[in-house]
Amino acid sequence: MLKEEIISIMPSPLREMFLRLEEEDYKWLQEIRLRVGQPVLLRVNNQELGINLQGKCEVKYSYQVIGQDIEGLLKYLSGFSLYALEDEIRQGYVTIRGGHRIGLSGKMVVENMQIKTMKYINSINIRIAHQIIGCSKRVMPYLVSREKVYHTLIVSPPKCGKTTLLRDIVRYLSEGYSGYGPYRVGVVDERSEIAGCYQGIPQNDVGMRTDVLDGCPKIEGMKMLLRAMSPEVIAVDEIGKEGDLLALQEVLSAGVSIISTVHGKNIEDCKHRPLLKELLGEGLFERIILLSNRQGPCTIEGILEGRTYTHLSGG
Amino acid sequence: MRLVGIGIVFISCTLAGFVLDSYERKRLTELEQFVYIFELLRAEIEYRLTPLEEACYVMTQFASFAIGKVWEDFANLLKGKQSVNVTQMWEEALMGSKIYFHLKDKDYEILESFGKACGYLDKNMQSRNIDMLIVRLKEELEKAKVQYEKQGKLNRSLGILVGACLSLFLI
Repeated sequence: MLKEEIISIMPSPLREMFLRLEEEDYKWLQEIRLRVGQPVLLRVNNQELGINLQGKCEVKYSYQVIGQDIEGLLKYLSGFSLYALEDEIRQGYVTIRGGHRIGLSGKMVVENMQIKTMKYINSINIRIAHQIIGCSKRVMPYLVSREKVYHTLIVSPPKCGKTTLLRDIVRYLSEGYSGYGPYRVGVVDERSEIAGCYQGIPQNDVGMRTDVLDGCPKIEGMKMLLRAMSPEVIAVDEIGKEGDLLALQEVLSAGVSIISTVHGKNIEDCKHRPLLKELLGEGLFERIILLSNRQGPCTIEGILEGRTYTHLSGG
Repeated sequence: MRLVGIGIVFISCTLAGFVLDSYERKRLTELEQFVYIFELLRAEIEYRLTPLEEACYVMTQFASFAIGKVWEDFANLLKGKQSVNVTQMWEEALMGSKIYFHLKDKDYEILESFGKACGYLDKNMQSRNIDMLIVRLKEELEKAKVQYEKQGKLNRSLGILVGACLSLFLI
């Protein structure tokens, strides 16, 4: 499936090269980087590799990317419809089928101090989304009780698997975990990374009682879910923007549990950021999960009680 | 025997007149349908931001067999991703159904222009591209209608008249 998803966006001759990669390589593939005039770089199982028509190789033998490769890839990933991705391009990334995030860089076109679009795209970073079923099994006992699902914040640096963990928590809650639940879960999937929806249908397993608002801004999405879908739990990825606090408070006052993620190394790191400081200071979250990449993605460094920051479980 | 021959000549001439008339009428219908489909496509892109491939499949539901086939072929070519050249794919799809159409070279020229600015521009430019195409198609449609009104009856009458003349001459 992953191989198909990657190959479907690759123009020739990159397509032929990626067809030569073995299934095992796809299993461990984390990232593909394409920069005009530079070799293709793959990150496979934390190792940097190149690729050419013979398959994976050392970086020095890797295929050099040309402008047409980037142009072709953009056409393919947008389904020849860049107009459908205007907002995403403005934000600098696009999410494709399977929930893989494609970061773009080039020259920004600014109008009235606002980013209008990006042109001369010369660098593409494909971050592979991996669904790890069962990766949240260890944290689940700390997130549910007979009365409720605890408001939970997952704190993690980039590429440590916070979305993967969130997705699996959503799946467990939706399907029921060890006699707890099942719950009606609403997911606001602003960047199509949690459910990885394609034409509205989740490509990742998020459970049978999960409603997904795909491509919807978080604040509006949370309100919409509350009004329309009567969820018991709402899951959102990467909070921390202005307005998130108000939206979260609204959700909490409706008696709905929140599961969310945020970028950060540790709890101290979060406390230094004004909005997060406010969120944490108000004791909004009852559980905080700390992640790292120490033993691979989704390494749990600790589960904290949200108000006192006492460790409920160590890493 | 002679009368049978005269009859055949008369009927053939009359039919030729009607066939010519029907060809022009079908051209009008096809141009009208293309205008309708492009208006739907513009709405799909403007309102729902539907990607081209999906929008083309949607168009097949609203179009007649021949026009639907163009959109289906185009959608399949986009889906197949065997080339990055959208212009070429659109032309291929259009030409693939040429045998079903009654359009003129000028009509094809207008329709082909759709592929030239298709896919890689922003929403506004996509809409403008389609707008321009619709305007040009409508112009062609108006011209064709005027011409049809003038020549439709003439073609039919001329068929009968030529048939009658030839029959009289043969008698």
